[in-house]
Amino acid sequence: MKTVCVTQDVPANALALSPDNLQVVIAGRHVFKIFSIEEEDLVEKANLRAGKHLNLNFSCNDVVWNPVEDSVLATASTNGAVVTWNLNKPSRSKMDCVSFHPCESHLLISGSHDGFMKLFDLRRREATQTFTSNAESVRDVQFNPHHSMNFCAVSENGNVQLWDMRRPDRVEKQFTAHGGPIFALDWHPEVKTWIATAGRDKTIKVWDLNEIPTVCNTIQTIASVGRVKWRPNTKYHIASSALLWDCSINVWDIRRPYIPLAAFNEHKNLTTSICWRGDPNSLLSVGKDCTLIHHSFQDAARPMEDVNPAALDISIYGNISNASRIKEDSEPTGSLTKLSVFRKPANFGEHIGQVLSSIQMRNCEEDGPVSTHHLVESAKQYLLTGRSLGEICEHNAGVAKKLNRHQIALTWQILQMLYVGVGGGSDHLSGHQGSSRDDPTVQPDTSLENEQRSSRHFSGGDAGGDTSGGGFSAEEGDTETDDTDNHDLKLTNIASGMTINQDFFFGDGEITQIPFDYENLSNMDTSQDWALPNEAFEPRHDILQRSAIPPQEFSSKCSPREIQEAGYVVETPSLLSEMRGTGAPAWKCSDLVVEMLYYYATHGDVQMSVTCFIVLRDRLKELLDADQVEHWFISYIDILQHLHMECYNQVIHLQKAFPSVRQQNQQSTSVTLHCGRCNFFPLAEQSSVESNEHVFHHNPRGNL
Amino acid sequence: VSVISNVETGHDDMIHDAQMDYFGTRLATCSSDRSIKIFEVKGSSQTLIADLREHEGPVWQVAWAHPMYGNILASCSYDRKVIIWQEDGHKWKKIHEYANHDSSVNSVCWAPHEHGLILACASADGSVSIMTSTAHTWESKKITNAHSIGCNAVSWAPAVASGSADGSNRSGSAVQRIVTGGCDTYVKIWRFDSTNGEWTEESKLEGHSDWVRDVAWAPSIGLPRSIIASCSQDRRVIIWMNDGVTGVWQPRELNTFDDVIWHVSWSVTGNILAVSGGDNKVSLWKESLEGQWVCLSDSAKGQPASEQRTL
Repeated sequence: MKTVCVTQDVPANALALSPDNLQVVIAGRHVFKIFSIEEEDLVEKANLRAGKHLNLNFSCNDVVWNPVEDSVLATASTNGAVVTWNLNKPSRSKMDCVSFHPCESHLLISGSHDGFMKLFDLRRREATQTFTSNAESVRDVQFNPHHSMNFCAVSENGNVQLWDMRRPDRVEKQFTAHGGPIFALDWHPEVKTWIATAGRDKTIKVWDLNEIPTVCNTIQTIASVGRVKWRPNTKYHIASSALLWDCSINVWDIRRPYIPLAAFNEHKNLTTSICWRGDPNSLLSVGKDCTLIHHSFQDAARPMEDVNPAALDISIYGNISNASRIKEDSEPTGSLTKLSVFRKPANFGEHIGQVLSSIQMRNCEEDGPVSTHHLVESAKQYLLTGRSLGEICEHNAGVAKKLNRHQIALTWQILQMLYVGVGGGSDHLSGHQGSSRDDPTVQPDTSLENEQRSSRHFSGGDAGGDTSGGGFSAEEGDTETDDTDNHDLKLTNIASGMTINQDFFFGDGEITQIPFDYENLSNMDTSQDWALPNEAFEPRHDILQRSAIPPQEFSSKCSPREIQEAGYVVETPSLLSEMRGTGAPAWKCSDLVVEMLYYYATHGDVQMSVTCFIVLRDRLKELLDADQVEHWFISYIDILQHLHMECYNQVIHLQKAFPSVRQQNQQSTSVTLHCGRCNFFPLAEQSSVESNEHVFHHNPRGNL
Repeated sequence: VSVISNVETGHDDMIHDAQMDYFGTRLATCSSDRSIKIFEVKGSSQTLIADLREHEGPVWQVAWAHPMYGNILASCSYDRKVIIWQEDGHKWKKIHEYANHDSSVNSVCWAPHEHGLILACASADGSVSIMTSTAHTWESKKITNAHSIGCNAVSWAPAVASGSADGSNRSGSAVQRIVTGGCDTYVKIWRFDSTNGEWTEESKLEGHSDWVRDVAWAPSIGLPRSIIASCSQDRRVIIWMNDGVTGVWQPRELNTFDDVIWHVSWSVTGNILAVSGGDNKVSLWKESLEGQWVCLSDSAKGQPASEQRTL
């Protein structure tokens, strides 16, 4: 049967099912009706208030149906009366909460606010026995379904009392169950020694009533619990409704006490009473929203299923933490202990036990894709100012190479090439020749050559790569003097017109003839070496970058010069010194460099964009959008802040380099330097000088 | 991504969230057992430094605020409350509790620090609350009916420097935007209108066919374009890109996985996405030059997914 809702005019406080589970009675201050539970609907059968005797006896706090005689009901009225109803004719007595004896249909026990419990025999008119508890008001009382002589009562002082009906003078067992008032109790329908109690402390506790009653399980809920009812035919499930704030009815599995198994959310106001219809899939309830609702278990919301079993986060250092649920592969067994772990079964059923998760921290390798190790090291070691452009590029290229960031190294070398030129400045001749080797790979003079080179790049072959890779690293940077002869042959020289006495050809056959070709090959193969593990797409970009240059541009610019220079054999030295000094590339590469900066930013390496910009700023300033650059600066500073103080010396460089950033630094709180270690928050108006000092007190080896 | 160390958290039930702080030195975890635990992380060892128990129901998410405000952590729970904690000396105490939702609060996210100390909370009652702190008092604003059945995730847009990204806004203050994902399968973008002080829906992105479980706005890397990743119970992750010029969000499906995807998270540099799913695998994705998203590594395979690289 599906979920059905019937609305009244007034709220009901209690409900009870007839012994055959076909009828339900609801009772409240102003309502007292019987409904019949049909296939699709709840049909009102009788309105017990519609009668001539309309008095306070009719406003009820609790109602029970005689488990044996299906025409007898009893209600506890607000005026203290217990009224028993024969659906044929009514009679009366006096009380608050009532419970029928499971077998003897004429016996009724009730508990009242004054702390007494009275046993009634319906055949007589007055109470046969009175049980005095030293408690305050008795909030709930219930006969033990397994031992008909016993009943249990819970009271507002948190006590649970077990009585034997035949001994009214002395309580059989008594214990304190909750820290505050207990509002509900329910004997387990099958397990003879289990009883559930719940109260204002928002917990539901399951007790095993052995010699010494002990708590088996505790369920923490989010509001005071008003009613609890064990779910039929399931050992571990119990339904509860709250007195305040939470309008839903929750069904809990006591083995997983943190989150409900199922929740019925149909009530718009607090639920006042719940009752299982003898069947684990049907639940009836009444609420303050004046409705009587039949709930179908299959329609219930499943909070347990909707929860998120996984967690994920990446830290600034590239460490990934991941939490995931532990899944057991074994089949659930019949007996479940608290520590067993089970896979969630496909049918939302009975075998749910404790669930655990494990967290794993994955620390990435230094070269891994998420690692920021190179960013940190580069930030520490890069030079940005203080030396000539050539030296800076040289140094940075060396730093990048050591970090296995070959494309970055290449980029620095390209920059050096573009703006300083091979042999430009005394740097070159004094031994920093490592960078010059790589020029040809960057400065194409024909696109055709590009393509050939690019095909070489990919088809280079690993065998060549190994040996040349070894050779390459051995010559790191400064030690190749054997190149002196060849440097003039570099294509850049050719392109920029610095070639001296060399004949060469343009065209397809060129590569095979020129000796320095092998160095190119070795360079490329080395690049390919590192390309395989992770940064596969970068070399491709290099190619793209190169091939973007229209060939005509070069040949038109270079050839006249080159032809011109080719003739100058004798006057080489002076020419060389002249050309050295220009620093300006022979072709307009600034656009390309700007494109490169944007490329790096797009692909997440804002450090490269920012540092290149600082190094080259005068040459590029007018070509770049100031706002864009500012944005890069801010992003970079933010990343540095993530990485802590060691890198802050970089920030000083940045501030000096870009005045508007410094200004923003001063104006907005977003770029303040925050020292995470000593909780010092510099004011936004501080000048960069003061921040410098502060930086240095944590990093004495400032790099200025 | 390889070396794995297990963190012994001592939680009694399922862990729903684990977040590392701004500097990557602390880990906060929260669980169904209603507790939040904070660990100090050094290399591959972790030590427990705090155990916070104020929630009355399972805690769904935790979020670290920017360190300029001190050490602040926010948590949200099934008990409909959002609690904000602050570290004082070596003790953590509750500095604020927000209980104005009608149902479980599913997600919390701090705004970029440029906007101030602001927290967004998404709840299963379908509304999103934005709480702003000014001088130790908290005010809140609610976006009611953000998503019809419930809201599962919320994420803030990075605070873009004035004028550089949003070409239309050169006035100087960064625009506040959030993205939310809900049970109605939509991903919605909301923008704060500072003239009337209200949050309005700016875009509604359709693409998923089941509950959206997590949304993440990629950190800004200096470009006008914005990227949002969303993952859903339909086992897909979709990347939404807005080039900042046309204002249109283009979806691109990352992949269809074998199981529900619960989380997506961007690396700080903003171009690598980590995805974690019900099959307990974590995979890393990056955009290649052609604009395709390729898998860099997959925890299940244990090594870089070399065959998936497109060149």
